Amino acid sequence: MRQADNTPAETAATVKCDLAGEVLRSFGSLRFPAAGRSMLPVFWPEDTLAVESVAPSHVHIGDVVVVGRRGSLCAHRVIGVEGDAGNPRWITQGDALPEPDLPVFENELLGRVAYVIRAGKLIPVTAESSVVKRVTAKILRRSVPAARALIFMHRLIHAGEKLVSKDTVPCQS
Amino acid sequence: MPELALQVERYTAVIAVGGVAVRVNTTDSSFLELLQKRYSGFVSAETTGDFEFNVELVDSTFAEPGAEVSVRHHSGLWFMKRADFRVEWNSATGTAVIQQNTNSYSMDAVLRIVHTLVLAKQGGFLLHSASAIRNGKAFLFAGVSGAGKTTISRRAPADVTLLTDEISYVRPSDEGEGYVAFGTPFTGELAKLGENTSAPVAALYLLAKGQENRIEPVAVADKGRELLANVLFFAEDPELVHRVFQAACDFIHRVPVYRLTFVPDGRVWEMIR
Repeated sequence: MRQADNTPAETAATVKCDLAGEVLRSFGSLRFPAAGRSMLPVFWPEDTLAVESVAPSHVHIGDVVVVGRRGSLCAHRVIGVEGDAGNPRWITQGDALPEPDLPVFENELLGRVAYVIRAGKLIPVTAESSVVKRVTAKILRRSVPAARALIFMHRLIHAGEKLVSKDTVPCQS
Repeated sequence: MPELALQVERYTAVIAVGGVAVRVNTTDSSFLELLQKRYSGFVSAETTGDFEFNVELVDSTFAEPGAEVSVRHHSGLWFMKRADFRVEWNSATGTAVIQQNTNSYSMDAVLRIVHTLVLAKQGGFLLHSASAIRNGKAFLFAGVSGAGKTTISRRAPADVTLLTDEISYVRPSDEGEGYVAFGTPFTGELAKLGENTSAPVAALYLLAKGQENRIEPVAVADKGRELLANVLFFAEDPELVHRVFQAACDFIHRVPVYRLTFVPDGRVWEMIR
């Protein structure tokens, strides 16, 4: 009776991704839990991302945008724009990743991360990162063990401060 | 001094939907008759139920007229409220106290809510859809009001057993491979109770009226979005909402879902077998 090639988890991820887009289009904002280490040290696992819908013409280099692609949501920073105004394609990359992602098409662009919510605090996400964060990201791009160690330390420091969500939305890469 | 004991007659009906029996107790014989008439075909000969509902008929209003139903869980109790009823249900003991106006609509709403909660824990759901059995297989026809649920139910040929024209009852099969649809007394425009029977779900059709009859595949994301848009769930409870979401995703993974565009006449049933 099973009718699809994808797994139940993939089906659920695809539906979640689609619903996220619909919520953003309908209500203009969405919150979802961060996962992965691709945007360290701007986002940490267990942060909550507050996303707002954005017109493609208002997306600028430095913005962190949410992309829905192949059943997953991913929040990465815009590092460039290709194409023309009628058919733009954004180049995104995780701050802690060594390589950019595949170009993002307009139908994959869901919104822009406006805030990160950490331990109950609302922290604006800006186009410009601090020098410390830029240097940290540069180190992390070269060392996965360093990223793991940093997450471990972060969890130790913030143990007890956070509500840990088990229902995370995976981020590519 | 002799004790004075006031004997109050209690009247009981056991209403079983999807194999889940609710014993309704009332002191009003005419209300019991109302229920027995309303749920004929679903009134069980059993004297016990999985849940015990004690109904107090009152002439009160519990919320603003037209206010949406409220379903909340607090301190082990479920609280349900609408303008015409108020319920406290202890799901652990299975006992509920229902204060409601004297009509069957309030009880209908309470039963629907309770079944959504019971089903959510079992991996099932109530679906805004017609459903029917043909050749031993159940077919669901989902859509918003006006999509064609009543039309397709009304045009069903003689060999089709109608489970409902409005609210389908869907639960994972005991074997764990697929889903089973049960008949319900929850009616729509057709105002005809479904048959109290069940069958494995063979397909879900998302209805659309058109100029020709055709069946088309549906993308996974669209299946999920449209199924969820038709799932009935009222409780403000993150854990159960998560369960319903997972159930819907599992359903579309296991059951074929198609878009059924149809001309509103009986020929569409030539494609449903």
